[in-house]
Formats: sequence, C-alpha cells, structure tokens
Amino acid sequence: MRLKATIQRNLLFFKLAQAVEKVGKSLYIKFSKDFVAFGANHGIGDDPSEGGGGLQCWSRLPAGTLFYGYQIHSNSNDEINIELRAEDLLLAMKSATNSSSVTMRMTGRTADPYLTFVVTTEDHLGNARPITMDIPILKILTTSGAEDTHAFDEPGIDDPDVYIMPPQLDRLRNMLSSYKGLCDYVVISANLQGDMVFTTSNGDILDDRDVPSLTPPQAHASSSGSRRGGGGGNEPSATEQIMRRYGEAEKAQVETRFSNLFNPPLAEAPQRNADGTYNSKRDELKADRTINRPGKFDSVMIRVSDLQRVLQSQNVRPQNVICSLLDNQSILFMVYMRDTDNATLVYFIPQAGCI
Amino acid sequence: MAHNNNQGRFSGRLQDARHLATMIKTVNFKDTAICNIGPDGIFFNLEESRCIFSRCLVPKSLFDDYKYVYPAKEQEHLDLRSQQGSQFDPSEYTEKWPEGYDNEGRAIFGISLSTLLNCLNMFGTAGGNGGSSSGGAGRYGGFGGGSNSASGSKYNASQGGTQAGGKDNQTPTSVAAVTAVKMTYNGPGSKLYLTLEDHGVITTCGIPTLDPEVPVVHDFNEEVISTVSMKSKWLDEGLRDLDATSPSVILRLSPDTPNFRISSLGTVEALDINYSLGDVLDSCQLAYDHDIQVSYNFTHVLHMLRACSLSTSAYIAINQEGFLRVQFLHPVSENRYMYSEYTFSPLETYE
Repeated sequence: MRLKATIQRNLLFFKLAQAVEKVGKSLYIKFSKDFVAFGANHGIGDDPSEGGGGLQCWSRLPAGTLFYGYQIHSNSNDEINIELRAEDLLLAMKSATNSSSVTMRMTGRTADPYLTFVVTTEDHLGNARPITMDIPILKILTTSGAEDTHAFDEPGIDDPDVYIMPPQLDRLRNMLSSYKGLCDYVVISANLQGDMVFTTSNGDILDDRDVPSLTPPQAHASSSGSRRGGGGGNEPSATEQIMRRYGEAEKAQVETRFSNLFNPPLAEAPQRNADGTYNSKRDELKADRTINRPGKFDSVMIRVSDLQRVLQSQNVRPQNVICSLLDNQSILFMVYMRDTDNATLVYFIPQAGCI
Repeated sequence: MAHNNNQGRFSGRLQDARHLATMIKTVNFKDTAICNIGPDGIFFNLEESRCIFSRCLVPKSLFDDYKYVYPAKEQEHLDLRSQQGSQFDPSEYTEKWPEGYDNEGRAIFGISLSTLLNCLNMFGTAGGNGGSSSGGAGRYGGFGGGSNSASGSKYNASQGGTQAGGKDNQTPTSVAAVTAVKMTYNGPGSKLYLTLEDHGVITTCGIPTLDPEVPVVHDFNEEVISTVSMKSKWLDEGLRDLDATSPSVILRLSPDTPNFRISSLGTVEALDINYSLGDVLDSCQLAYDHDIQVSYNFTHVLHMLRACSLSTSAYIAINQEGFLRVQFLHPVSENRYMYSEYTFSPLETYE
C-alpha cells in the first residue's frame, strides 16, 4: 500500500477539509487512481448540540485538481480508504499556507498509520526548511468497510421540487449569526420565481392551524400579498404557509426575503408527448407546477448550525451554488468549485425532526 | 389581533440602524429594558435593585419619519359604588390613560435588548466591528441576476479579501454600508416590528413585548449638586487604568487641584487618577467649599465604559445624597445628538 503526492499550490486538498471540518466527527477520504472522494456525516450519535444529525456532505474530484506527482498503489484495486479527523489535517494546513511545496505520503502501514506531510518553506535567503507533520489516520478501511460507512454514498432522494441559486453565502453569514442568537431552527422556502425566504422557528412542526399573520398591520409594498403565481391561482402567501406549518420562534419572529434570484432550469424537464399528455403522473404534476404555480413556496426546516456549516464551503472559493428543495423533506446545496471542471461539494440536510 | 383604533400607534424610520444599536449598547447592563415611546423620541430605561439606573434617548430629530399617535383616554368612574342608573355625570368620571401607557400617554413596554440588537444587526451593519462582514478570502462572483460568468477578480485565496480590480458584481460590504430600519408598534400586546432593508433584501422582525415593570421613580435632586465635565475619553482611560479587582471606586471633588480624583483600592495597591481644571476638565463646580468624597460599587460604575467609548462628552454630577449621575453626549451629525445617562447610588460618603 503506497500513497505519495505533492499538493497543488491552491491547497485545495486542505481547503476541502476546512469546508467540511465541523460536519461530523471524522472525515473519510477515498484515494483511487483517478479521483479522490471526501465524505463526512453527522450521525445521530454525535453531539446533538452541534447539529440534529443528518447533515451529510460529500465530494469527488479528479486527483489532478488536488495533487500532482500522484502515485498510488494498493492491493484492493489501487484504492485506499481512510478515516481521520479533519481538525488534525487542518493543523498541517497552518504551516502549509506560506510554503513553497507540500508533499504527502502515507507511512506506518498497518501499525499506527499516518499521513505524513512535509512542508518546505523557503526564507528570503533561499534556505529551505522542511517541517514534517504526521497526521494520525484513525482507520484504514477495507473496501467493504468503506461501503458500510455510507460516507461516499449519495442518499436516494426524489427529484427536487425547486432549484434556486441562493444569495451570496457571505450575506447569509451575518444574517445567520443574528438568527443563531434568536432561535435554533430556520425555515428555508423558495419558489420558482426567484424568491427565497428564511424564517426563524422554534423547531415545531404543526398541523395546519389558524395562526395570526406575521406581517405588521401597515404592510409594505413587497409583503406577502404581491407575489402571485403566473397562472393567476390564489397561492397562500409564503408567510402564511410557513406560519401554518412551523412553530414560531420565541424570542422574535424574523423573516428575511431575497428576490430576483436565479432558478436554474430543472435538469429533467418533464417531456411532453406529441398529443400533449405526459409520460407519468409525476411529470404531469411537475409541468403543472412550473407553468401554473411557479409562485408556490416549498419549505424545509433545518437547524441554523447546519446551515452555518454549509457556509464553511466558502473556503473552497465556490464559483456557484445551487440549492434544491424537496418540500417538507430535505434540502441540498451543490457547491461548484472554481478551477475544477465543475467538481462539486454537496451538502445534504434532511428536515429537522425527520430522521 | 383586532385593530383597535383607540390604541396608541408609533411608526418611525431611521436612516441608520447603527444609531439605535449604539444607544442600546451603551445602556444594556442587563437584558430586559423598559422602552418608552412618545412624541419626542424613544427612551430605554433600565434599573437594577435601585442601585444602578441607566437610560438613553433617541430623539425624534434623528428619524426621517416619526409619528406617534396618542391612545384614546379611558373614562374611569371615580366611585364605582355610587353609580346610579344610566345617568352619565361627567363630574364623577376621570380620564386616564389606558394600560400600557405611562401617565403622560407615552407607550411603555418591556423588551429584550439582546433580541433587539440581534435584529438590528441582521445585515452586519450594526455590530461592534462596523460593516466589515465578509470572511475575507473566498468571495465568489457570478451571483444574483442569474449570470454565471465569473467576475473579473483574479486573486489568490490567501490574499485576503482585496480584489484585483476588474469587474466585480458582488455586493460590496464596506464599512460605509448603512441599513435603514422602520419600526412600528401598535399598543400593548402587539409586537414591536422592525423592517430592515439592504440592497433589495427585506427582513421583518416581530419582537414580542412584555408588560412593563412598575417604573422606579427616581428623582435626581438637583438642588445642591457638584458637577464636573470632561471629554469622555479621559474618563474612559481613567476608569480602565484603575484596578478592576477593587470592590469600590472613590470619587473625590475638591476646590484645589487636583479637582477631581478617582481611586481604587485593589488587593495589591491603591491607585489614584487625577484630573484638574485647566488640564483635562472642561468645567468643575462644587456645591461646597470643602472636599467631597463618595464611593460607589466599581462593578456598577464599570458598566458605563461602553457609554464612555461611544460618546464625546461626559457630564458628572453628585447630589446631596451622594448619588452619582453621568450624562453622555453622542453627536450624530450637526445639531443631531443622542443622549445616555447612568445613575449610581453611593456606598459610603466620607465627610
């Protein structure tokens, strides 16, 4: 079993670890001949104060984007699966930021395996000083062991209801730290008209109930009443929909509304047959939704801390982020990384309380 | 919620949420405050065990729009027992302001200041570190409006947040970012609503209000007072230089130099900070010919450090009973000011 490589100057390997650092207790990395895959998940058994369980993230990139001079050899199809702690990897990153080169090697084999990093820093006189760091590998997994962790698997979910490009994650950062001080849960809603709404919540999922409306009596121009679906149907406003389904936060009820966002077209638009019918009932509902009710909001309630963890992805300098929502079930963030041929870092969060 | 036309109503729009946030930060030595809204501005009053009082005022002149409508007065019969039939005799009724209003008809309610600050800081512009809300490295382009093209920024992640010129369609988060806030309140029981807007993003916050505690009436008897005024930063430095482990701080005013002295009695040593007229004191007027020396709880007095650092001038007054009142002036722009004030009860008066 042999693994040796030099890390690319952009340190993307470390940046990825930074992006997924707090997701779960361990970080799983799969090294194979052509690609490297990352996986992390927050298990139910993990500390509940750091997330309700269920947040998962994974990523797969061509080895060439992370390393050069990449050599790998192992008995199981030249694949190595390891489990380590992300924080340890980040300690290595601290020395690596101003270095001239960083090489990575796996050492120790089965007894106390380590991922050894040699960081070479040149000072202004041209003297090179190497620093060696051994990062402990918690476990080397067999192929079946790797499959058992499910860390690299994408969960099977239905086609999403809404695709939208969320606002810049920078802006969400401030907003979320304010939300964090007010409540534990946030309801994310989006529609097919470029609107995205964040609302505070106390975590309760209610049945339909008559609850007072949020909007203040002197409503301003952009309040709930003004957005209507293209087909002219009377959609209940986003606020009312959310209020009916999710409990109010105690300290303050806050709603933040972003508009003019971009809805990327659904990957598989329902195909219409020549005679105007659809192949399946599902397709028909989807098409109906797109044409007649684009203003309808789909919502998911998740923990604020999970969403803050998704914001950590700014470490990989995302080019674009696409968010997809399944009403009342889950939300997915696909972060497209720059300079990697559209490789993605994906975060999946199921609705809180639905594990 | 029935929209009762007899309730008082308030609506106001403030150009910069930071002003309100600053004022709240100067006085919030505890979380729950009494908010008092009237035709002249918004007051926040806090009090703890009748030993420490603080309040601040955001006057009406600071708002772009400001409207306060008084509630309808209620009729209250003077003597309920002697009501006879259905005759309405005006002389037996008195008018009073309804519940939730003080005796001048101003709306009064309790509110959590930390919640209020969290809401005002929604876009990062009312926080302590100004508007620099970005995480530095890692900004990305091509957002909003649907364009996927990368912005012209060619920079390394390790170079921090500066951009290398070129087109940049990201939202700038510079220190000058200013968020406007609109506030509304519709009488007791209703929430205090804040609406903040930043580049097209609208946040609405509904903060629950509490029934106000019975306000502690405290008159700072100004009959016989000694006053000192100076720039706040001198007071700030002096207080910070004192030994924080000391349980009390002693203030001494004297007709001779040093005219004003603050002292602490720490575990290791006693420290004195002296101020004199002609040096840093702008004015000093004593009620008596002899020295006055009073001590106060240092932990309480330290609460006003925030007010010192955010204001320009401090006006110190000690009255006959030994109560210390410090008023701070916070200028906003020409002719527009905000005010905050702390009052402390004395520990010991030394003759």
